[in-house]
Formats: sequence, C-alpha cells, structure tokens
Amino acid sequence: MGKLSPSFRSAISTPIVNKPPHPPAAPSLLSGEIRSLSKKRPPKHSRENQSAQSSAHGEKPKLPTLFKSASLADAKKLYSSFINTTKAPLDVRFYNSLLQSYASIASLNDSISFLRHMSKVQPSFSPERSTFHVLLSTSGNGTDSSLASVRQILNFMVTQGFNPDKATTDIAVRSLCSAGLIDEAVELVREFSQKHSPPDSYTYNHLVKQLCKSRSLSTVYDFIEEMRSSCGATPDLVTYTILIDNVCNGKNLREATRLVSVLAKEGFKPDCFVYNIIMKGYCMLGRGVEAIGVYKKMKEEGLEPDVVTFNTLIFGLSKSGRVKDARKFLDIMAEMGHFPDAVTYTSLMNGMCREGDALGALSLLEEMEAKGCSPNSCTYNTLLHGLSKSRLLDRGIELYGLMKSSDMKLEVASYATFVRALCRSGRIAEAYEVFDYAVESKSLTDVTAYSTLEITLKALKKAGEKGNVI
Amino acid sequence: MLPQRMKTAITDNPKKLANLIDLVNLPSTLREFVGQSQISRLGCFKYVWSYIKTNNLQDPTNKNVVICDEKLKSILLGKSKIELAELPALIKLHFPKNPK
Repeated sequence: MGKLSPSFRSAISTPIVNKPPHPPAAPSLLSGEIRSLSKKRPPKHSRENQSAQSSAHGEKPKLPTLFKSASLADAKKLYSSFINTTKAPLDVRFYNSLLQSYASIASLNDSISFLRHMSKVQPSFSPERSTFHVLLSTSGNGTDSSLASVRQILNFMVTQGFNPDKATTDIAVRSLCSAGLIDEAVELVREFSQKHSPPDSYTYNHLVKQLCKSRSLSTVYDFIEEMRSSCGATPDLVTYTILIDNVCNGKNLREATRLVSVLAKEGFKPDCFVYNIIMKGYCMLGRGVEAIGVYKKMKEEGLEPDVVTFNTLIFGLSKSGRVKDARKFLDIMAEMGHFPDAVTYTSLMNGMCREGDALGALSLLEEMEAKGCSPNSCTYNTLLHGLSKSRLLDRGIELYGLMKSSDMKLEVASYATFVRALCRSGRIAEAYEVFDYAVESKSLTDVTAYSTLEITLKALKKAGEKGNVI
Repeated sequence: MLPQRMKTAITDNPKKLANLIDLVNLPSTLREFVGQSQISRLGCFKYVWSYIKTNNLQDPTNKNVVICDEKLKSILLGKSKIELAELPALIKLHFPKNPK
C-alpha cells in the first residue's frame, strides 16, 4: 500500500549488510554478500574481472558443506582440507566467503583467530579491507555483538594497516543497528566524525531511519541538529522523506506539513516519494478528499504519479468508503500505462467488501485473474472476510477450499469472521476443522485460534439462551 | 451481528492468556485421560479434540455431535453424547478459576 517503493527503498538502504545468515547453499556463498559488499567501493572493475576469472576456472571453490560447528579447531581442519583439495589459485573473495561463513556462526574472538590462521597457513592471502568488512558485517548477528566487539575489529583493522573509510563506518553502523544497538551506533558515528570523516548520506539516513523507528521524534531532531553543528552533515531529501514518513505513520500530520514547508525552505523540491508518503498519511486517517488533493497537487507540479501513488490512493479511497472514486482511479491508472497489481485490486476489493458488495469483489477477482494479475494470500483473506461478513457462506467455503489447497495462510480477521459465520449456521464441525487448519498452517498462534473459537461458541450459546436468532 | 467486544484479542489480556496456557496440576480423572500430570487448558482442548478425531467419535450423520466412548465419558460429566459446541465449556470445568 503506502509502503516505500522498491527503488526508493534501495536508495536509503544500500544492500550492504542485514542479510540473514547464509543458507547452506554453497554457490551462493561467493556471489551473495561479497559482491554486494564490493558494490560500494571503487575498485570494482578489477574485482569483477577476478570473479569472471574465478568462475571461468570452473566452479573450483566447491563448498559442499559449510562450517557446521563453531569450534575453532574444526574450522581450521576444514580450512586446511579446502586448501589441499583446490589446486587453482584462490582469490581473496574465496577467503572472504570462508571467513564469512565461519564468522556467522562463531564468536568474534574465534573468527579473528581463524582469520589470523588463514593468512598464516596460506601466505599468499593477505587480508584486504573487504575482509575486515566481512568481519564487521557478521558482527551484528552474533549474540555477543556490542560496541566493544566492533571496536575490537576496527582496532585489529588499523593494526593491519587499514584505516576505516566511509564504507567501514557504514557497515559498522548497520551491523550495530541490526543488533538493536542504536545508541552505540550513534556513539560510533560521533567518534568517527571527530576522528576520521563525517558519515556519508547512506549511513546518515540509515541511522535516522533506525532512530525514527525506536526513539522519540525529539531524539531524532537532536541527532540531526548535533550532526549539523558538529560535522556539517545536513539532512537531504531522503532524510526528510524518512522523517515525514515517520510522523505520518504516527498520524501526526501537522508535523508532516511543517516538515514539508521546512523542506521547501531548504531548497528541496518534493518528489514523488514525498507526495506518496503524505498521501499515505491522509489515507491512513481515512481522509480521501485530502488524498485526492495531494494527487492533484502532484499533477500541478508536473510530477508523474507512479504505481505506489495509485495504490495508495485506491487504498485510501476504498478505506474511506469512496469505492466509486477508487474504481475511477483504477481506470485512470490503466490509461496512464501503469499495471494495477495485486495490492491495487486487494485494496479495491477491501473497499467493496466494506460496502457489503462481496459479490462485486468476487467478480473483481475474476477480472483481475483475466488480466493476468495473480492474487496473493492477502487478496483471498480479504475476500474470505468479506464473503463471511455478507453471509455468503457457501462462496466463502469454496474460497477457503481454494486457499487450503494452495497452503495459504489465514489472517486473524478473516479466520475470525469465517469461524463465526460457520458456527452461526450450525456448522460447528467445519469451524473446528478450520481451527485445525489455522493451527496446522501456523497462520495464527494456538491461543488466538482457540480463543476465537471459544468466544464464538460462548457468544452463540448466550444468544441461543436468549432466544435470539442471529 | 455478534457483540463487538468479541473482537478484543485475548492475547492482549495477560490474565486471560495465562488462564489458557498455564500448566495446571490435573485432578486424577483427567490425569488418567491425558496421561500427564500437568497440562494447560489449551493443550487439554487440543488433546481431547485430536482424541475425538483419531477415534472417529463424531456422529457420522451429524458431525457436530460427538458420541463419547467410555474414556471420554469419564471426563465429560458422564454424558454419552455432547455437542461439539459445548466442548470448550466442558473442558473449562476442569480448570476452575484460581482460588488463591
């Protein structure tokens, strides 16, 4: 819905770290993280060439099993077996990936010892900057991660003759943030900006984003002010977008409007993303008129609305009960050459279901499938919810069967309405069966699934005693 | 329509949640049936329900009715037939509110 578009997301979070621990698939090891690490640094060409060469060697680094035990001795043994079995010359990427796979399961001290061991046994390998970056990036997912361990790596790096650069800062900050140590990350940035260099815009924005997530707005503003006065790092358009997004999520539209005016004062021109976010803010409050107002303003400014704009708008209008308008925008969207996706249709279906037009929503499903857009589990849940609510139980059961056959998960709301509808029409056994499915497919926790069922039955009994026909 | 309050999630209420998932020392009848000395109310429900399913105790003509076998009878007030809808309430009887 009003989420950031993928292209934008990549703009604020450069693909450096935060990757979950590696799956045990060996080939991905070389390409995955290391390539994304090298993306940011200039000597890209040589490295790309190297990788091209190494793949030309014919998949020499076959790693059928990665490090399974965190014990240092085992790792060393495995390492020497790798060294002895491969004849082709190994490049630094190979060592980096070995180190990475080990560091992702072992403690920091063991990883450092392993690195030392690697260069000792194989003198042709000398750690590069990227090697330390690997170490830094994995330091965030251990249990023992702390500022101290990051410092330890940095010191180790300096003693090996590499001064931390901007990429180092970025990786360190991200790994601290991913371990939830935001204060420590801020401290690190402070330290770096005094000693080495101010953070680049990626680090800065990442940190602002993390602060927004978990700290109060005033803390974020303090941080921005501090950075401005201490090292001249000023917020850019992306920073403002993050801030506006944050206040909009907190339903603080007044602050959002203020930020937009600040943004204009600082000489930035709001782009599509800023407008999308403001629109999302209005939509979340169900203020359809204002959302359309934002859309019109965008057009006035000559900005081309994108899929996210339309999705947000259609979501907002559906939510505020203006399905007809939403439907109109679906057509406008198609006219402008944007393909409505599952989100668009689901929002619209949601709106129709709210109006009690579940059959209309169901026909929209057909329309959507005819246009080659495949529905997702959210679509089905919305429909199930709508059908159960409109007492079209048979269609609901049909849909449920479809969902079950493709192992789709149920959501709380659709599960609850469906179970209620089943119980109400006396199909208790079927409701129990849905309960089983919800638990089995791990859609809901046992407690939620059971308590919904129990409360439904209890309410039913009460209503029965009163003689109400419901 | 059923009352709105139904929608309020139990999981938000720690007391009610505890009531569902805390392990409770079982009275002897139930202990025999479940084969453990402690179980939560939720666990007990799931156990009984799976017992009904594995032993095919649902009435084939009306799935909403359970025809109790001797074992089941012993824990469900000695009834020979129960409605599935009553099951949670019947099980709740074994889990009285904490007297403390």
